[in-house]
Amino acid sequence: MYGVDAEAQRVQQQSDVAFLQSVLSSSADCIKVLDLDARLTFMTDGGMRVMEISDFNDVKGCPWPDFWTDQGNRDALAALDAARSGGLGHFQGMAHTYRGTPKWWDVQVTAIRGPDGLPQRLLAVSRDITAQKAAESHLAASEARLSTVMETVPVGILLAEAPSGRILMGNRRLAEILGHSTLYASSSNAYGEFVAYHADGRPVDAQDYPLAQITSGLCKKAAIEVLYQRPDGERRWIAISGEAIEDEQGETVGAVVAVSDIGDRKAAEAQQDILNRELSHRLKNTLTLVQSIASQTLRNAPSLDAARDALAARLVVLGKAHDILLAGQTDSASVDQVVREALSLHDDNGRRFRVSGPSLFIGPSAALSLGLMLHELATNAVKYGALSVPNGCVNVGWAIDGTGAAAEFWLDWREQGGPPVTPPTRKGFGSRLIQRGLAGGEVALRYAAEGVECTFSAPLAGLRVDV
Amino acid sequence: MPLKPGAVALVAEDEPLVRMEAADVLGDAGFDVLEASTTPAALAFLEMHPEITLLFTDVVMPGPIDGLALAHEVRRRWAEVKIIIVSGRVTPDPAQLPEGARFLEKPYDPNRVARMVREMGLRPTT
Repeated sequence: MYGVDAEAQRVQQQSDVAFLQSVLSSSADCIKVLDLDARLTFMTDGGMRVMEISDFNDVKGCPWPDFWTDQGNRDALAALDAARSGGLGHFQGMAHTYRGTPKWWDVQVTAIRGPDGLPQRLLAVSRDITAQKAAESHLAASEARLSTVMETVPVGILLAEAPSGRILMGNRRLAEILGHSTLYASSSNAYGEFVAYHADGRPVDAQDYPLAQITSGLCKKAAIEVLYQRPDGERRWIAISGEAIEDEQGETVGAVVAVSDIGDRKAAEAQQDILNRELSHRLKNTLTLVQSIASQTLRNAPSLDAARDALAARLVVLGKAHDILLAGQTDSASVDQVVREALSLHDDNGRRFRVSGPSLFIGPSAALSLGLMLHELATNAVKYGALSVPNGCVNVGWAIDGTGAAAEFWLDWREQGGPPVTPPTRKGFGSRLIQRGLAGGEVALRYAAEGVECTFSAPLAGLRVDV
Repeated sequence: MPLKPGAVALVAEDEPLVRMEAADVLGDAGFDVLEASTTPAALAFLEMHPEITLLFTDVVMPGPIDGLALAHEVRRRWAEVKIIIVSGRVTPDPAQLPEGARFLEKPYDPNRVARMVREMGLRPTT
């Protein structure tokens, strides 16, 4: 019976060894047995394949650490020491195969104990992790690129996952714009920690933010402009524009928003609004003037032909006064320019007017009135006064009396060399306008024998008031 | 110069040409018209002429107060005076206007003024 049992046991053992060998050789790992001096004594078939060794005899007895260089070599020696003292030696490193192909390995070294329980030999198992390493370094490079982009783009970027709305990352520019480091809100409900206001002054609700709208699945794209309250007290206009990040099935898995500082744009828009309103007011004022000129001209004209000519001339004067106002840096006109422009239409030889007065600026309304009044005085002078004869002329002078709030502007019109004048029997547009004078002021109109004299006076302060 | 009671309007407007036109429009509507180019001048007229029944004022005016403040002052001191406020620059909130005052945007239609005057119950002599 014993003999039969021994035979069966032997067969069983052979079968077990064959099984173990087939297990070992089918492993993709490089499994090696080393003696305590770390010389190679055995290597699995699978190990020979990954190490590109065709005949084990080529490497049999070689010291295993010699396959490693530099840090790999130091790590291998340390792993051997750990294994010899009964522990686990573990490291990752790069080593070339027998044919010189560089590969990354994850290596574990353990002791194989003898019957006495002491380490008798060493087992080294190296797993080829080249592909994994390549993927890792690819990922790292990709992350480094993303990080470089995130940190260098001139817009703030915030990334959140869906559907929670948990914030995953924010870049440096975002921190600059918002005035604080990335707020890692755990969900979109926590976006209320961002303090911002709508244009109408309402506080922005947590769910108003594009990140909340998109991560909650309400939409794929969202944008908003808000006045952001920075911790340093400053309020800044920011534009937040977001898009969904989708998986292959088109499900929203996250959202990314771009945040930009639109303070300059908002300021420019506000400035543009002011300009537009101002322009609209100017236009209405001008239309009111034109309406008055047209209506008054038609009321007072002896004939339609006369009305047409008078209206055209008056609109030209209005146009010239506008030119002066538009050309100025400030919203005012030089008296000298207003006078010269208004009179230029009536100066047939370039010597009709002697104009003198200090440099002085007046507001748009006063400039238009003064221009029109001088035009009417000149029109009358051409018809009946000094400008109706070849040698007649007009002296126009102005000055300011007094200072500060009491400063009074006056302008004097004095005709010379014309025929004797008498007061008109009929009061036309011109005389009616002239009699009204400048705002808050007085007019003295004298029909002296040597020519018409007219003096306008008015508080200077009133002439500088905007229309 | 004696003015007929019930037929006097005061125009407050700094632009002489526009004031002249307003005066003519109100004159055509049957009013005798007084003209003031500043708000203090307008108040002086009201103190001197209790027969004034209508204040027709621009909003933006030189002087210590503007036309809107003038209108409020007139409402306070001369409660029976009707008020028409005109402007091309500001459109006041109705709540900003004195009680019973009407607003007209410049430039305005002269016929509109005549109609408004009638609607306000003024009976100028025509």
